[in-house]
Amino acid sequence: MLSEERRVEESALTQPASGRLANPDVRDEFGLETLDMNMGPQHPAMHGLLRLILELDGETVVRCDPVMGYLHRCQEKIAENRMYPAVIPLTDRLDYFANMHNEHGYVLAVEDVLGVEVPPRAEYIRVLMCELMRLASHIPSVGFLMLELGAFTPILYSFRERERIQSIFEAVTGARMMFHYIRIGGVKADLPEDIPQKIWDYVETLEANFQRDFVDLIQGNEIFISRTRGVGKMTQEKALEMGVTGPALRCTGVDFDIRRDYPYSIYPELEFDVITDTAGDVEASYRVRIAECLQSIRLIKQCLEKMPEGEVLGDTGRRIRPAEGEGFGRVESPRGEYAVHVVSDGTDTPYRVHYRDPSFCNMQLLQEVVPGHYLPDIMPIMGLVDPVSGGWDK
Amino acid sequence: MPQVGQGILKGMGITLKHLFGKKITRMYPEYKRDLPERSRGMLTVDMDRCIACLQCMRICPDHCISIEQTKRDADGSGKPKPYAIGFVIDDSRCMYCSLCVEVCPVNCIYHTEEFEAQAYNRLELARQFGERPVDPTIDPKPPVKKKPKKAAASADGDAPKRAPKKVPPKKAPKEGAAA
Ligand code: SF4
Ligand code: SF4
Repeated sequence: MLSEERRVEESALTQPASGRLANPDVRDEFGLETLDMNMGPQHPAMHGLLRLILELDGETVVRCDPVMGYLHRCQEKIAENRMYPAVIPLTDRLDYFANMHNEHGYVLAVEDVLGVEVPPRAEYIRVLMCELMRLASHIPSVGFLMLELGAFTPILYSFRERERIQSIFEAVTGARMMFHYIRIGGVKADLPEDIPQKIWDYVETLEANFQRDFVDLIQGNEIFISRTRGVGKMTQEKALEMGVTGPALRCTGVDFDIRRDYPYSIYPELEFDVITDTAGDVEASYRVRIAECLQSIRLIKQCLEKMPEGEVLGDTGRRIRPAEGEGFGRVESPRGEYAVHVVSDGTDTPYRVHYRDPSFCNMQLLQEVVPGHYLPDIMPIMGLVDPVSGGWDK
Repeated sequence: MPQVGQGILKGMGITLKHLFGKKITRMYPEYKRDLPERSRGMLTVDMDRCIACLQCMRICPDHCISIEQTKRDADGSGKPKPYAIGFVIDDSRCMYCSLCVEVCPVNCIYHTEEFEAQAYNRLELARQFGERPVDPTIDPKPPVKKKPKKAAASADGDAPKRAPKKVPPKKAPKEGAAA
């Protein structure tokens, strides 16, 4: 079908991007110059506030430079002036589609430098919440991908599911998005009494509806296939070179998942598969996300079954004042590896907090992958990367 | 290759099924759902119970609580105690993080179910609770950094004051900057 003729030029896959970008004056055989165009920062289809400087040769993109920084909030600097617990609500505002993972990463880093014991029930609740968050992030990203291809229905279905998950979060944490739930040494409060049953029921219904609403609806659709198959194709080597993580890496066939390879929390006790695909294009990333949702459902069920009784907040003392040193925490957020580095100088406030956000690191993929594609293919590729504005700008 | 059009028809069938299903949207201002018990809305404070310990003001990361403190013999015991004569919560800055609620020793500051905080003017969002209004635009003092004793004792003049010991040399501030 169409996929044959739309394959990316071989040079785009093999030549380094810098070489292509250094060529200031690309002319075609008629001596016509290329056209510079700005896409965003205020673009209806753009993921948040991102500006792409495009160089177009007809309708083919020759160069694509993402410009970030329109949502920069100095998160790392603010964190240096706040006490350790008061940084947690800030991390919620980083990647606002993976708030639980942000909190979890920061808290792991502080616990690393503080050396505090976390009760097992708290670990289970953390993982339960993180996996629900992964569902609440992967399902809308599939919806957004379809929205960018012009299909409006899937986004409604995916937001219906997201709203339901958010209602669970609201009952547990008190807020729908900015949770401030995972604390240093555990979680804020135990699950309300009826919530485990509610989560179980919800996950069962989702499992029953998932095939119909997200797989049957999309998979096999001719428009979807012709717009995504072979688009944004990326080789394994290139993905590894660029440090891409998450579904964007796994869809090229690299078997890498922080949950399994650098285990944290209680993931070693749980059973799950790391999903990979070989195609490395937009369609493969869709398949990876869909399969990861099913794995998340599996993890949620295991968490609910195995959850022990007991405390949920370990003793950290009245003031959190770690000794001098540094801590590191890395988690698998829905977009890839999210890591936090905290340096303590023995005071109430961190000396330095650094976030490695997957949205930011995966973004460089655009420069490498987009050249050679048609202009309308940029949006599906954005769906492959699935960056979140709050994540890349911090 | 699947027959062209089959996938689209299948998708349309699913959409059609949902069309005749139950409606899942609700009209918000007319219909308000019940909020869960833990839901965090706008803050309110019970001034009768407040002991003016200022802990909420100190912990608030956004400096949105300002308290004016005096000494008053409120309960007639003959001993003047700290009393919050002015208490303002500036909702335009509050991020509903609940840190102040958790720190209050007498649980007199709490979240209500109200969440519709809208006003034409930012200052309208500053809600006064005390007898005397407090200017919400004045920041209460940010938390004072207490240096550990051993850091103060180091006689090394060149070393930057807050540099931790164990950081790799790359991450520590440059020596030249402090000299
Ligand atoms: S909820 Fe948070 S931001 Fe709001 S007043 Fe309390 S501590 Fe400050
Ligand atoms: S923490 Fe509670 S008692 Fe203390 S000043 Fe604040 S509201 Fe009053």
